[in-house]
Amino acid sequence: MRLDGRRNDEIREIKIKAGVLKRAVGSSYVEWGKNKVYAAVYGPREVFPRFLTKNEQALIRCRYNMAPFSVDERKRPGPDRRAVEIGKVMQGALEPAILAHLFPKTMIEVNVEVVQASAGTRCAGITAASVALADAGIPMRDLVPACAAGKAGDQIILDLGKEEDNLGQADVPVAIIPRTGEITLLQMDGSLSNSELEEVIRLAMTGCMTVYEKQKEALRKKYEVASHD
Amino acid sequence: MILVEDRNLVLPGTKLAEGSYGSDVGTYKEKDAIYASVLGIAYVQKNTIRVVPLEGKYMPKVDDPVLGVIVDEYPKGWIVDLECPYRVTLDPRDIFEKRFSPIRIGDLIYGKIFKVTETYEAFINAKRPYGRLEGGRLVKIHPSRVPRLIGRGGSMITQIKDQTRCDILVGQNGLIWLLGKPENEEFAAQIVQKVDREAHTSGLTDRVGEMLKRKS
Repeated sequence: MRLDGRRNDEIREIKIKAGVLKRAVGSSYVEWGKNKVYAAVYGPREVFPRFLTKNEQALIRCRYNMAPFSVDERKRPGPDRRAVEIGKVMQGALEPAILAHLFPKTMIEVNVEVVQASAGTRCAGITAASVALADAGIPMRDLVPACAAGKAGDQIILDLGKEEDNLGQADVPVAIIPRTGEITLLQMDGSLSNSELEEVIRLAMTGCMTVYEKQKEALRKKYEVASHD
Repeated sequence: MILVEDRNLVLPGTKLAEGSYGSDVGTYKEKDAIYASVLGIAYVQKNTIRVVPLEGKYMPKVDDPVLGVIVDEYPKGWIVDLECPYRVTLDPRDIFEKRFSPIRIGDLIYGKIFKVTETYEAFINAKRPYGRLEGGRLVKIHPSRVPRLIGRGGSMITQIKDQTRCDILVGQNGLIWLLGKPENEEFAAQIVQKVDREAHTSGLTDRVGEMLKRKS
């Protein structure tokens, strides 16, 4: 039994809302366990700085940031090395799904802001970003859900919570393109045997499919409410 | 085999059909099947499926009438903001400029796109019946909902113009210009925004008709 009473293959409670920021072209808000994350999408628009313009497709730019009040000890504002890394892996996770060749010479900006952090923020961020991209009308092959699995207390578990992540043996965040099963994000923090890793990845992928259903529900909900007038 | 019903709400990745069908706007083909690429409403015709996106920015098309604000000035002409990802130019030869009231940054222009390059740079012509607009009020709606605002054969927009007693110009890029008495402009703006919010629902024409009748 885990610290918060969950089963080994049980994911934390997730709530997703699409279209929450008026000024962004697309946006979403995700509550995942105790995590609270916003995603905002801007574009397609002109590329700044100009020299990064890609002639054949849109440039996807991802920014991940943690608010100073999102963690126990105040986090100094501004991107640190971890945030830069997460921005880069987010781009790697989302780009394969985006039909970027439809908007040559433009830039699609994805901004993820963590306002409350409790392990698994990059998965929550990618999940939120994916919904925000759909909300912005950016053409994509599919939505991209993300979920982590790992090992703590010698148990293979799904969706590590804060203590499990800090004191556990391994944390493996995964993002997939559900329709084809392609993995677009795979990282590991810790150590696992080969067979354990396979099991963890498979477990994470089932977690992703659960998240996928929540993403779809959030997008459908946005338009169902409007039709009852 | 078609897997969705006409007018279904679909999401990116939703499988629309299997087999040889035409994949139109808002869809993509992969290995003998057609999938939706955007959040939108699927329209099924005999052999093609298209998805009209519910969101998304305007992409310039030749012959589209559009509204935009002048945002920059160059020796070659002005840059117009159509709220789209690409650069739109207005050449001085394509607009009539009065000697003592030149076109300035901040002016609102109603024009027609006459050229779009391969890299989506667009050029507009603002000669009669187009030109600079003064006064009035600007409302922004989703470009994908403009056809709904115009209605079949212009039915919806004509109804709104008549009942609100406003001059209305509709840009395909989602910018709408209203001119009339201030209360009428405000009312017309509310109607336009209602159409924007509920464009994907049925019975909208009736609801709008009722709202117009109640006020006048």
